[in-house]
Amino acid sequence: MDGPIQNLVNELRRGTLVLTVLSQLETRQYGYSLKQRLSEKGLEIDQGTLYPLMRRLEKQGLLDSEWSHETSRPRRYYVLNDTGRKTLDTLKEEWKALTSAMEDLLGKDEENGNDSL
Amino acid sequence: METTLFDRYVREVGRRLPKKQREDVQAELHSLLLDALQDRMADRGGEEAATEEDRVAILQELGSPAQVAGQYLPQNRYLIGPRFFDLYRIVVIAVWGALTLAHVVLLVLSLWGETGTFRDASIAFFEVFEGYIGALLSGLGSVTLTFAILERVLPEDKYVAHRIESYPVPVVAFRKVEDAQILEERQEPWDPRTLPEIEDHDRVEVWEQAVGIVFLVLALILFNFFPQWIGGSFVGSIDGGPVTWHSWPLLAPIFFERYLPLLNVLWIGNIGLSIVVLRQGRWQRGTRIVDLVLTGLSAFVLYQMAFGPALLSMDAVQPADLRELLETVFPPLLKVGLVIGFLATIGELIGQFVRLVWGRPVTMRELLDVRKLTGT
Repeated sequence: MDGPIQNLVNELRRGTLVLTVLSQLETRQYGYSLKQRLSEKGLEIDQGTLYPLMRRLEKQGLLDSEWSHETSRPRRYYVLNDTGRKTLDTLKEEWKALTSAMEDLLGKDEENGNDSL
Repeated sequence: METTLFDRYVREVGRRLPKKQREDVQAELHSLLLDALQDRMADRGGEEAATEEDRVAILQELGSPAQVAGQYLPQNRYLIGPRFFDLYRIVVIAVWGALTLAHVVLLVLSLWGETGTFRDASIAFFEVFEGYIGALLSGLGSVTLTFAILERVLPEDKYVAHRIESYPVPVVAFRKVEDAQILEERQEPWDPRTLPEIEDHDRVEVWEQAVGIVFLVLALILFNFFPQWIGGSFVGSIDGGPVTWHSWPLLAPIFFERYLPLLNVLWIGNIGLSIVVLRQGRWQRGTRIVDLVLTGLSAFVLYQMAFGPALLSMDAVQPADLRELLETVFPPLLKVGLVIGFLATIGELIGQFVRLVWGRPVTMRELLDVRKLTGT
């Protein structure tokens, strides 16, 4: 993919990052386990972006975190709190409305494109 | 203790973060890196040991320390952001160093004509110190203001800072780049092997301390018990007498009355410090403070010896023409040597102070190596 196009794709994906992360933190996860989980679902997110994002969401009051010493080495686990859950619900609604509108728009474009052929 | 690339990487990321969150982020990042390594090993069957190449691949995927640290910092809430911070720090150190050096030279020049009394020295010192503080405030304030303006005027990600290689000192220029170039430069893999080593600044070099103790003990014995050995000698005839060994004491009585007691305190203090440091095995805050005080006392004694009464006595030198020659050559040479020693001790004093406050020395190499510091 050409540089400028790749930039636009990255920009598009960046907009969905917060929703993506919040949606997977109903159960507690540490950074690498969340990365793996997203990867298994076909979403590759740079670790250098994911880990700091989890910290920022915690700082914004959407996530709670704690160090766990249950495993062979200490890990910091993150989980949605009440504010995070409410935010997730709001973002989900927005996402549904947006995708519906976009499908409508893109569908019409395709139809227009087909008409012009 | 052996350090891995991960340790060096985590340290470099932490160095760019505010102290408040540094330790916690470093601990988490280290744990996440080990998770990635463990996963990588499991993919290979879990039988092979992790290699440096495995660590390099993981770190390359994560991104350079500057990029990752930038992600951890609050977005757009800084006076000078991660884009310019490394460069800002280099310029601050360079300006601070240049102003300090200029004022040390100014101090020496203003003391040169003084009589060497403590009062004169104090007045000259405070005059120069007052100018130094003013210059620091003005110089560092201008640098901070300039970078704060650059942070806001140059659109983010549209300009990169780079060093002009043809200059031996750090001269930095800003280059506008197109989006495609930015992407290309970002995608270019960085090499984790270039991460700076973690130096153990508190480690005690046993041989260094041992050699120091030996020389100080020798100096104590020589100056206190065999002062007659410190002088000149030659084989020859004086006033037609027999050809034989002639010798004369070099140091004036004032050296033994005024300076030797101070030097004894210094030497004994340094021997005691070396023994304590050797016993503790590492430099600690207390021993660093004692070292700072002893270095300050050394600077004071060197200043007194350089600008006080003459230290050398040539009265006993024979024949007369040799005495005149020595009287012309030796005292200025000694004064120059003592002034150089005084300046070097002041430099050491500043270095010790920096190490005490910031926990590590700032070297000239770091100052000049912009690329290594900025990771560009």
